[in-house]
Amino acid sequence: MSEDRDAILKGLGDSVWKLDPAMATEFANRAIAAGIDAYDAINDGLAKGMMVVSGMFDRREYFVPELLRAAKAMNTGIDLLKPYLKVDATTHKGTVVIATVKGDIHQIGKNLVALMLRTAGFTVHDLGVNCPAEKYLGKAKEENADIIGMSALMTTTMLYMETVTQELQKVGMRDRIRVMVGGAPVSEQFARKVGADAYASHAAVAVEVAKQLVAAAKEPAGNLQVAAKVG
Amino acid sequence: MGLTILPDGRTVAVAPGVSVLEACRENDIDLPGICGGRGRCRECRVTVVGREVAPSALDKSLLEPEDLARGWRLSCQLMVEGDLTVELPPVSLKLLDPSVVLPQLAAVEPVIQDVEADLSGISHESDEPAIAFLKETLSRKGVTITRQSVAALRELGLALARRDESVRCLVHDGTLLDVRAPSSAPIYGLAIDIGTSTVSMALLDLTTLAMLSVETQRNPQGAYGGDFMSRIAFAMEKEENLLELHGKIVNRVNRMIERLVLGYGIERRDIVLMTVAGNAVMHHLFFGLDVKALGGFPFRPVVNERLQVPAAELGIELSPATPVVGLPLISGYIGADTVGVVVALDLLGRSDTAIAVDVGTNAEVALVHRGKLYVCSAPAGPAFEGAQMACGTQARPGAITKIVLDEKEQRLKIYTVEEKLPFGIAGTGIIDAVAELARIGVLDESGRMRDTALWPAWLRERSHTAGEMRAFVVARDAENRPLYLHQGDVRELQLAKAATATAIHYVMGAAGIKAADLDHVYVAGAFGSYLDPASILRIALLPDVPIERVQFIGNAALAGAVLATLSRRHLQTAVRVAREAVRVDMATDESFQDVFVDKLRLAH
Repeated sequence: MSEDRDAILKGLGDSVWKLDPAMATEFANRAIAAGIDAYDAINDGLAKGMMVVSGMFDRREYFVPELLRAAKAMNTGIDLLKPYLKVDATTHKGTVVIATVKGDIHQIGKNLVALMLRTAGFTVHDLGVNCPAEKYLGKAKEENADIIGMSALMTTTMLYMETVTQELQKVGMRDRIRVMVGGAPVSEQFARKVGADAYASHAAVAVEVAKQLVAAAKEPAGNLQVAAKVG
Repeated sequence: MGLTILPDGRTVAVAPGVSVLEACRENDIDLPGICGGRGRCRECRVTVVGREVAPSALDKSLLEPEDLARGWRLSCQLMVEGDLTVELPPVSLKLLDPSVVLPQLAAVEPVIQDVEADLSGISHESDEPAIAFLKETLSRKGVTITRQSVAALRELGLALARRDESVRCLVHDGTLLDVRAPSSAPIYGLAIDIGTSTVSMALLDLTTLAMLSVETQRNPQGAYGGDFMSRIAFAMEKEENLLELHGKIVNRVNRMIERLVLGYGIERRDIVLMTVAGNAVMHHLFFGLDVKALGGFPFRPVVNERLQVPAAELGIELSPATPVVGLPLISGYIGADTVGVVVALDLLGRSDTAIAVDVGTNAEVALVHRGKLYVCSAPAGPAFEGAQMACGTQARPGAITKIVLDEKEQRLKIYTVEEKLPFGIAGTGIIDAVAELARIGVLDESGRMRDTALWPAWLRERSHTAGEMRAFVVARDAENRPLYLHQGDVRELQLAKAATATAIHYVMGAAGIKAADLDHVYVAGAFGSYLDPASILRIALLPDVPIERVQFIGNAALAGAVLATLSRRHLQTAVRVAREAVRVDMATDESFQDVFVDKLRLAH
């Protein structure tokens, strides 16, 4: 039984890094048939596979298309397992408001982060591109968000991140909301400079960063507590 | 405090707390700063001579230990404290001149009208102003004068006083620029393409329509960042910075003019016209116009129509009234360089179906189909220039520009600029490497570097690890250090190529055509003859067409500026291009992400 359980969990994980939705379907069904807790199947199965993907992305063995396909495989598994989640065993990890900053219309990196976060169990509100500070703040307030995620792909537009953190400060929301930033020209150093809590170097790592941010939510916000070097 | 720069040996005074990169910027000493001093590349490294300077944290993270040991430091992190001597990397000094391909020009209607006016009929008893008589005389020759320079009036007055029988008049767009003796020297024009990395200037004989020389120098704004967005970011910091950037490029152009004047024994007065092409940001910085709004969506330019200003207004060291013409922009992100390319290829006047692709940091694409012109641009990043690659470099002597895998002889052949020992891989070398490695199976179609065991046996010794990434050793430098391509480099190249291919996809979609419909595919860019058409076809940067339809046209933006300096029809075409081109917007398209992701693949 336990050997079987391990094999099934491994199969679920493998299906994700092997980018194989059919395999995810097969092992999700086997998990259900074997009576494996759906929460465990997701967290100890599928999510483990996504960690492998994250590591492969770090080494650039995998790239954007593979990340999309991995997420697809994982979501296929999650969709099957979801009805079996116990009512109180929520997979909800936190609420994120995400967008590309004002002046910038690059979407792919931001879309990937949103997809990864959703796949990992976050509730994500994607405000699209060219997003002004008031829109970030309005939505964050409305949804009682844990995290604001900002993306910028240009050295000119990334400066806007500071405008948003300053606005947060001004309206007194900075203590309650964690800020994570990313995008090709952004660095950890820059993230610190604009008053963000964390920097994620790519979409796969963003999940770990976001999880740590939520876990660290008891600490006072506004200083970079979360290391970016995850994964 | 004094900073001495080798190999020149020049010493400049530096205030405390100023970095070596900043000091070089201030003193017009060329030092590339791809990332603009943000500590994200290692292009600005110098060697500290005769002193120990502790490496900064960034030095340690970006430079190898053995390089640190021989005194390499990042100049952006190196503060001048006390007298300091540094040596610039020798390779940062020389650039290659681009190829400029011009069509045959038969009889053209010149931009500068050069006409002789008979003064013998003037009454020396009349009180009619001399200029009125001259205007009348010229209008009988079909030349209308609406304005005149003071220099022209001065010379006219002197000619009359000397009782000269006739004068030679130089007229530009209704402005009488100059009046001179009929037997005077030939007249010249300058055409300039201001690229983000380099500035190219062509000297033209306006009488014979000959191109006498082309010279390329580095754009001194490179010290503020390799891509134009970093220049805008610098301009955003404070208002004076805009004028600093403007001053840099004007100075460089003046220096280039001076070299021509000295080298060719030309009088400044005989240079009577200058035409400038360049992307929207370089264009605005040259004219000293604010670039902040070009730094983000919706990318609003201050001006897009053709500019025409007297040299004196810009501080260009020619006769004060000499017109400096800025070719029009199509939009805030499709610049006068694209207009130049369209002019050079005469795309507007053609009935076939042709596409021109400017491969560079900003991919620009122009397509003509059924007489209609479609344009699109996409930021490709600096990968094609070899920047931000582990062993990348610009195409300078010693750069590997071409790579061929010869399976029969089981040899990897490299070609370097001027056949110097290799020190880095240029953008074209990286494109070749990716194309060849994909062909031979070291890379799969997705761009992933396969496990070494799956490589052809004769290549396995080239397997290498860079950090945690797989890598392929292309060559070794003079000190036997590996020059490699790692998995991350391949990904950077994929991003640049996907951006370009996506722009091509969208213009073709707007025109409703398929690859098979393309009669010609023109490739422009600073690559010259180094870029291998087979390579860019293999990595699917270009649409899937037979190789014989692909043609290199060199620096076509400069060629367009040359034509617009020589011929009125071409100048008018430039104005029409800017007005009539259909701008294709791709970033807001719903399918953009799917298209882009598909274009990352190294196959059609």
